[in-house]
Amino acid sequence: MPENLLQLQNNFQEYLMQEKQDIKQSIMSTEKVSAEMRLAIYGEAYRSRLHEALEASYPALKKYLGEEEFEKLCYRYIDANPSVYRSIRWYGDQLAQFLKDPFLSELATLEWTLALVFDAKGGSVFQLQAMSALSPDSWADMKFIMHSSVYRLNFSWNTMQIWQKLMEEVSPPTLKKNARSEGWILWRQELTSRYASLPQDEAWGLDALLNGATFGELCEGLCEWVAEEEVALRAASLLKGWITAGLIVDVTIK
Amino acid sequence: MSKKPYLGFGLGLRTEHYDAILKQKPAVDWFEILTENYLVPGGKPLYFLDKIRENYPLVMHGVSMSIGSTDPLDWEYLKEVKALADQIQPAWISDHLCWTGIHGKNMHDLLPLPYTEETVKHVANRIRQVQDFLERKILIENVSSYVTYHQSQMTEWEFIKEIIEQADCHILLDVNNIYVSAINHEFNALDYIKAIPSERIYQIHLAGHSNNGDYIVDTHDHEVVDEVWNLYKKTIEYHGKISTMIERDDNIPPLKTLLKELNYARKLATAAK
Repeated sequence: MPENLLQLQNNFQEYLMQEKQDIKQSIMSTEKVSAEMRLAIYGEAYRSRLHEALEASYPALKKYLGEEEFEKLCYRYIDANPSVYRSIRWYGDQLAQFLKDPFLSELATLEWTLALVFDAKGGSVFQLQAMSALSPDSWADMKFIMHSSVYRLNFSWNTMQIWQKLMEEVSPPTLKKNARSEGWILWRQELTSRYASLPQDEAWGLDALLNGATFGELCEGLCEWVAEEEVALRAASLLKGWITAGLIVDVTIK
Repeated sequence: MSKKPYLGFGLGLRTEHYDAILKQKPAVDWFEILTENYLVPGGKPLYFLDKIRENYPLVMHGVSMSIGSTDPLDWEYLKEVKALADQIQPAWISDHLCWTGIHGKNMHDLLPLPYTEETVKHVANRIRQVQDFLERKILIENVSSYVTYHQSQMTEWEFIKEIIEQADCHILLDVNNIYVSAINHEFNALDYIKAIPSERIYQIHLAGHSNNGDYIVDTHDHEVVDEVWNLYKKTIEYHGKISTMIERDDNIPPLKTLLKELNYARKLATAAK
C-alpha cells in the first residue's frame, strides 16, 4: 500500500466532505493564488456537482420547495450521504428516506421511481395472441414474468396530481391527504414512460403478480372485491389489459 | 509498437444531439461516449447508442476508474465497462489520470495525484491490471489541476511519461487541460506537450474553460479559446496527425455550432501538416 499517497488522499477527502484542514499543509501557495483558494475550487465543485445531480433527479421537489429550501435540503443530504456510486446517476437514492415530511418523501419516491422506469431494461413483451396457445385447463397455473420497468406505488397524498402540475410549470393543487391510499403503476412502453392510477382490486392484483402469484391465486384474491361468479371474468379482463399495456414479458405454467 | 489508429475528427456524444445526429447524419468521423451514462439496464440511452453506433465509430471515455486511488480497483465496474465494450466495440477505452475517492466513496471529481515515484509505481501497476482485464491497452487522460502538492518530486509531464512507459499504455492528451494547468501552475505548456512521446498519443481533447483572472477553471462549457487553438496547432506540428475531438460538457450548444468548431480543428490540423 502506498502509505504516503493514502494519507494525502485521506486528508484531501476529509477536506471535501468535512472541511477538515489537514490537507492544507500539502498544498503550495503562489503569489497570485493561495492554498486556501486552490482547495476551495475543489470544495465548491464537490458540493455543487452533487447538488446538480439531485436537481436532475428531483425537478418537481425542487419546484415545490423553491430553489433556496431545495438547496438547503441538498446540502444536508450531501453532508449525511456521501456518494458511494461509480456513476453520479445513482446519487440521491436515499432522499425519500431522508425526508421526514411524509408528503415530500412520497414526491421524492415518485421522482426516483420515474428515473428507474426511464432506464430500466427493455426487451420484447408477451403478446395477447400468444394466450391462445395456452390450454384453458392450465390457466389457473399460469405465472407471469413482469417487465423490469414495472413499479407499483401507493400514495397517501395527492402526490401524483401535484407532480403533474409542477412538471407542467403550473400551480399545483393544494396538498390533500387521500381518504385512502391511492394505487398507481409506473412503467415504460418501448421508450415512453407511462403511469396510471389503479382501482383497489387491480392494485392488489398487480402486487400479487409482482410477488409471483399464479392466475388461480389472482382469482382467489380478487374475491375480496368481486362476486365469486364474476371473478374469472374480472381476472381475465385485468390480465388482458396488463398484456396489452406491455407489463408482462412472459407467461409460464407452474 | 503497432501503428497507431487514426479516426479523424470527432465530438463528444451528448443527449441533446441524439435526434439531430440520427436525422442529419452530420459529417463527424467518430463520437466519444461518456461510459458511465450507458452503464444502465436499458431505455433511451442504450437505444440511441445502438442507433448511432450503426453509422459512426465510437470510443469510450470514463470518469470513474479512479486509477490513482488507494482503494482496490472496482472489478464490478470494470466488468460493466468490459460488457459495454463487447457490445459497442469501441476503437479504444480511456479514463483519467487521477483519483476520485477512497474508502468506497466517490467525490465525482478528477482529483490530482502527487507526482512521486510511489504514485508512478502504484498507478502504472493498476493500469497494467486494468489492461489485462479489459484485454486491450487503454488511454489515460491528463486532468487539469488547481493545486500543487509539496510532496511532488517531478513535473506533471515527467510523471505522465513515466507512468505511460511503465504501464505501456496510451495517452489522451487534453490540450485545454494542459493550458489550464500551465496558467494555474505557471509552467510552459509547450515543454509539457513536447515531452510526451508522439507514438503514445492516440487522441486529443479540445475544450473551453472559465477564466477567473488569477486562475482558470476547466469547466468545458465554452468554445475553445485562441490560445488553446494555437497550442493545438503546435501539438500537431510537433507530433503529427492525431485523432481530435471537441469535448463540451455543459452549456451545450446546437450541433451545428460544434461542427463549426470541429471544422476549424480540421483546418488547423491540415495546415499544420
